Amino acid sequence: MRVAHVAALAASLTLALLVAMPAAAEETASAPEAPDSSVDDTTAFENDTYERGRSLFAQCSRCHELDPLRANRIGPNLFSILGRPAAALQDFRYSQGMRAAAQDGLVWSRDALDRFIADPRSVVRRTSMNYRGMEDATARADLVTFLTGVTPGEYAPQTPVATDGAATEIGAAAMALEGDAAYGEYLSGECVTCHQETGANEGIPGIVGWPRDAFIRALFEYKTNVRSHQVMQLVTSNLGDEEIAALAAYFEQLGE
Amino acid sequence: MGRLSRRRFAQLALGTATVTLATPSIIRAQAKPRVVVVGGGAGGATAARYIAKDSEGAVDVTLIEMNKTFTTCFFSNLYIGDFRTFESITHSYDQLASGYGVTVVNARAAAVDRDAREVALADGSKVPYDRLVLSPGIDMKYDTVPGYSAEAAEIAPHAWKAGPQTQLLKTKLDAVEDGQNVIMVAPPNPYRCPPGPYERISMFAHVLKKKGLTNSKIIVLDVKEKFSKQALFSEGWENHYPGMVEWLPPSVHGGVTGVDVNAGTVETDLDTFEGALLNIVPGQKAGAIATDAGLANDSGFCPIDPYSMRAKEDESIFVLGDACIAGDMPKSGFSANSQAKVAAVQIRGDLTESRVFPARYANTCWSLIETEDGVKVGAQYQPTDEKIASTSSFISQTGESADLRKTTYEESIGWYAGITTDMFGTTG
Ligand SMILES: Cc1cc2nc3c(=O)[nH]c(=O)nc-3n(C[C@H](O)[C@H](O)[C@H](O)COP(=O)(O)OP(=O)(O)OC[C@H]3O[C@@H](n4cnc5c(N)ncnc54)[C@H](O)[C@@H]3O)c2cc1C
Ligand code: HEC
Ligand code: HEC
Repeated sequence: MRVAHVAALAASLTLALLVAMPAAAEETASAPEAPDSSVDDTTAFENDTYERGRSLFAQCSRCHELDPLRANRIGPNLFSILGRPAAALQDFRYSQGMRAAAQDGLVWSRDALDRFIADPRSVVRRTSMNYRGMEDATARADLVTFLTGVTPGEYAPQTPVATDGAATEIGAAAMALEGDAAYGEYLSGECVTCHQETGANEGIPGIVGWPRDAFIRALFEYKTNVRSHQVMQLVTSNLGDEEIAALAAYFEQLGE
Repeated sequence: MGRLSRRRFAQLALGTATVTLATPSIIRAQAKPRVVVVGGGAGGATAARYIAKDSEGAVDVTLIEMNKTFTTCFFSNLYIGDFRTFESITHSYDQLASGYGVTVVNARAAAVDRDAREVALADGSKVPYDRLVLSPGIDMKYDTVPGYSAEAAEIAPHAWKAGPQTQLLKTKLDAVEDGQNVIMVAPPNPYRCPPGPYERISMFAHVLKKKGLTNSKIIVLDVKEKFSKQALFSEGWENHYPGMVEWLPPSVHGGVTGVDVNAGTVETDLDTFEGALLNIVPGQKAGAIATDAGLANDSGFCPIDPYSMRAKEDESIFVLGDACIAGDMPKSGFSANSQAKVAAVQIRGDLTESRVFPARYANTCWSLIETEDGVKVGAQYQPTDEKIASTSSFISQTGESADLRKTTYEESIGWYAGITTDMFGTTG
């Protein structure tokens, strides 16, 4: 039910955006790296910064939503992040590392955001956020400007929410399955040789407690080489819909 | 028949026991199915932990291991290369005992009585089992290298079992002076960790290079014409250690005819080679306990049923890891860990009501060539009537970017933390 609701909402948001801001909508819907020349000529410098930040957010949008009406994904919803204490969302399961940092008083100021984006693990050593960091300081400043300035309903979902229903989404068949968590537990034996059951990240990302659909999508992205990685492509080559659904069910439950 | 809740039944049973018998705890222990695991390495520790964890107390698990701590062979080359400390590759069994309820017995298993279903310990005591897991690793076939022996290994270490041998090798490597050579005799197939000797050679070269011993060489006398990840290692040696590594196959040296560890020489048909450090890695066979139990064939390793990891010779015994014949799977820690999970599910299915899922196996082996220059090889496997057969695989490519090699190295660190946690229940 929730999925259908979000999809409908997303579709209407996309539509609203298409009407209001054609350039931006096109950009988020297609390749994010494409130069936004249409914006360059017409907008003032600040807007330029903002728009560059928007395209940079493509690096984050795989895991983060940026609209108050949308659910958490692999990472917490980042709407209104400026000035928010770390680990503040009730309905997101943060890592122990993030919760500890919050207890030590970490608040998402512009500066804290900048440092976190530059190198997440230098700010929160054991964070479960699997992002390598952004080296370019100007790019980070642009991104933070966008993150902190975005208004409700402005940011269109980047996930492939096709207008003709969820059927065309990658991994849709597996998402429609119940997922046998006991089978998933057995299958997880292969995964936990590399991905720690505790979710700890010591060189290989934690995969515990992800929302089912995001988990399924990630595995299909490896399977179809949308995300390319030798190990994960091999791992997923032997997993069918049933197996992937089972694993998603198990790992989601493991995070509870 | 009226239904009695499980809890109520347990209370009744316990009540009866206390009234009529003096030693209820023994009665309880005997009522529980017993699994005995010999060998607390990659295969055995994993099997013990999974059976104990997943049966939630319904199965009694005893782990017999002769050493107090376990030093992993995997990453022991990184210790040789100064990338890891010895402590960081040494693990305790405490968490298996306190966190998972495994009874850890620090003793050598001397024999298996398959008819009585008992393991005899070195002190003569007996440990009965319903299902037995043997994961004893390897023993050396010293006589594959003429002149080599267990005593000679105290001077010219093999360091193919981690522990004091590894430390001896490290001490000797650190004592090498400029102009002195290091000689490795590489092992014949099949042996544990196919890329292991070549990763070790890389680590030797790393240490010699770092110390500026530009006149020293590493001479490898191989008994094979080709080896695992050869293109990757050859490229890496050329790039990082030009002129330092001389790898000689038998078609060049004509065969190793003898070693004299006191003189520090290895003789071949071609020439006699002299080194300040001799690292002799002989041929290998299954750990003695498995062979003595009559589970091995002429190859020196134990045939198993690919669908379950059961010994071909005995349905109630499972042989894991280096000691078994695992078809296309290499003898690696990753493989042993993977096989252990298949066996654990089978054993729980045998002894309790739990579901049994079809066997699947996997392996990935990383090797470090030089600082942040990691490579990997991996495959997936499925059981067939004939053997455990490879279904798909990958290998790192030559000419990969430094970034990718660095990521690969970082992954290997993640894997080490992952697999040791998976074996011992903690990274400590
Ligand atoms: C240099 C080197 C590098 C390697 N690198 C890698 C790598 O990068 N990745 C990888 O996956 N693998 C690697 N390996 C291979 C890996 O170490 C082995 O394949 C793996 O340890 C096999 O597991 P096992 O359970 O069969 O045996 P082991 O791990 O050797 O465990 C056997 C245990 O049984 C105990 N034992 C034996 N007999 C008895 C007895 N009678 N009574 C009581 N206890 C007994 C031993 O003390 C030992 O603790 C490497 C090996 C070497 C030598
Ligand atoms: C692969 C998924 C992923 C990517 C990509 C990612 N994040 Fe995250 N992010 C997470 C997760 C998971 C957390 C929760 C971390 C924790 O609990 O340790 C998180 C947490 C955060 C937080 C803290 C939020 C809070 O509520 O405390 C911020 C800020 C953040 N991410 C920003 C970013 C930005 C900006 C980017 C892009 C440059 C990004 N993230 C990319 C997964 C991701
Ligand atoms: C041999 C080690 C290994 C095994 C086994 C393995 N993985 Fe992975 N996995 C990795 C690595 C390394 C990455 C990071 C890949 C990347 O950078 O895209 C990864 C990434 C992932 C991701 C995406 C994580 C993120 O933060 O974006 C998921 C989900 C995942 N794996 C699930 C699984 C599942 C499920 C299994 C078992 C069926 C499994 N993996 C088995 C090494 C492994």
